[in-house]
Amino acid sequence: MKATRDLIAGLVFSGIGLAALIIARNYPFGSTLNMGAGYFPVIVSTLILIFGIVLVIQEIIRGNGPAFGDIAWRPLLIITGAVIGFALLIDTAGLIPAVAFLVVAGWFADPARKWRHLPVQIAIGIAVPILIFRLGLNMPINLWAF
Amino acid sequence: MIDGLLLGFQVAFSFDNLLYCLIGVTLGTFIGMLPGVGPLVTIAMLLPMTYGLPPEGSLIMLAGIYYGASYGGSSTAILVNLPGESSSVVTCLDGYQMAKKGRAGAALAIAAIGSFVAGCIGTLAIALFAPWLGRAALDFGAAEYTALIVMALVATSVLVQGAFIKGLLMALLGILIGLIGMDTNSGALRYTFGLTPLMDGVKFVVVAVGMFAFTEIIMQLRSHTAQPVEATKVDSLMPTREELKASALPILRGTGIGMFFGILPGIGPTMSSFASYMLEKRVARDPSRFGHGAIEGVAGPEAANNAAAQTSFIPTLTLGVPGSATMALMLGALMIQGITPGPNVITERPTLFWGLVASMWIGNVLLVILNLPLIRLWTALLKVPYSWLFSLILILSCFGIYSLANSYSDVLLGAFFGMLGYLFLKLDCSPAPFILGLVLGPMLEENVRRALLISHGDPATFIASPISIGFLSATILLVLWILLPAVRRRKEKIELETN
Repeated sequence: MKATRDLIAGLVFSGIGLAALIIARNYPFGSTLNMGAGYFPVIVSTLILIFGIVLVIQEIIRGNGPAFGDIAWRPLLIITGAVIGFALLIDTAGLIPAVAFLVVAGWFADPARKWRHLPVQIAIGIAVPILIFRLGLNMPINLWAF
Repeated sequence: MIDGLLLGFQVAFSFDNLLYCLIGVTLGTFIGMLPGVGPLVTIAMLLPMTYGLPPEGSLIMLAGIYYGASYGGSSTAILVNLPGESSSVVTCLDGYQMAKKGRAGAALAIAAIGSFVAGCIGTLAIALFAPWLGRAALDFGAAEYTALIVMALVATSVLVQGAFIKGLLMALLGILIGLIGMDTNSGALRYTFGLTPLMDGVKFVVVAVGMFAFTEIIMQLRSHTAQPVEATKVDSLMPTREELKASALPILRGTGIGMFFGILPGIGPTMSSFASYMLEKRVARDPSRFGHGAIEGVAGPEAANNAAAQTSFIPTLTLGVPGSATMALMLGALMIQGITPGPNVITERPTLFWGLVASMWIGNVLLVILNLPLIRLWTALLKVPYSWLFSLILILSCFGIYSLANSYSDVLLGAFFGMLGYLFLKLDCSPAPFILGLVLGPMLEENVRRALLISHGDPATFIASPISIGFLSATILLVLWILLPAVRRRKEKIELETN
């Protein structure tokens, strides 16, 4: 059995549908006349579960779709980490450290990165949001919280 | 209508609004030209810059950004064979071939002229039909809205690349994510997992930036090299007399197709540019020229997608039902400004509606006088290496999310949706129905609930009026049509040719 894209997609969706359905059963279902908080979630998650299973079965029968894989782990993890770092720094440390972290971390994900470009990229990266958001839009963002 | 248009031009010709329109068109073209940045990301990134503006100015600037970005996307399609969005995929086919034959200038000019003609006729169509549709929509009850939303969701799912069932699953997942937060009806918390930031629900700008901007960066960084893309040189912008003559009818036909598809929610620009290309190929005396630089293959689809972009404002504004992910962003921008789109928006906010209509036309004029002379400047942008671009896109995207509510948890959510978007990309699942489901989900639940309440729980209410029967049978026909083996093969063939 090959791990094709459609097979994985079907499994992911049926998993999400099942989990959402189990959670939705805790919400009051109500009646057709007066839908409770759980009515719509039950319908939606059931549909996801059903179509997810259909996708799995379809792929088991045909089983010739393109294979899943070829994940660009390096950019995926680094870019996600860079954004998370920005999120954690922006309130606590201020704009300058947050943007500097974002640019430096993102720089490591770039296959064509060059050392001599990094300082300029940081400088531009800090200047642009200050110009647009602080000076242009007057947003109250702390530049430097230390 | 004449009064309305006059009022509109009065609003649009105010110094401030002209300026916003100009800034929007320029910024939109600027960012839309950058490789790997489509209109959706452009709008999502530039959205925070419009928060501080008055509603009219904000919407006018956003519409300008939208047109600018679409035009920028067509230019990259012609010059470097990189479509900025799905609706300019078709432009690549013959536009890039023309560029390779040294007719890049003519292709760009025809694209601009086609878009301009389509824009003018499209603007007129909005002025004519939107008030009419607005009045018709006053008769829409909850059941009719339910049918319309279902049609929009199914149509988007059907028409995206790849399997229909995956499109439908993405739309459903979008609806599910849209359920997160407090239920407006009962106050119950749903799918919040005890996390306080999720109580207000997931903002769709967060999802859009995550799934389009972050995912795109991750994807581009895997493959890009230090070399900037090789852009074709643009020499003479003047199309020859023959080229102009050959383009005239395709432009008009494309405009007609685009206006028709644009009004239908969920179908919009992409489908209309495909349809126009197919039509031109069919009516051409020598169809074999297509794919080798036939100017009709640029003129028709470009006119069609611009006309559709215009008329897709009609359902968005008058019904509050956006037809595409981009329109969903525009709708979100309206809501941030405290405006609820709907049948009453024309009568209650005439300056907003007519101002927007007038500035659409002005935006099209600005595009032609701005883009054609400046095209060499714009193409210089293509030489900017991706290494310099992506960090700026990353920064603007992070700030775009953060400035929604000055909340760092929104940025964390954005990072999560970036990863999710990448996973779905690797699973061949299109994000467009997901975004639409997210926006339309709450509306769908509310309308289903209201319809059933009014009918005392009788589900037959959804097929009680001719309007909803019309929407639902159109939906079923669309599904049946796409499941026909012949159509499916053709769709796969187009996708193969355009990939």
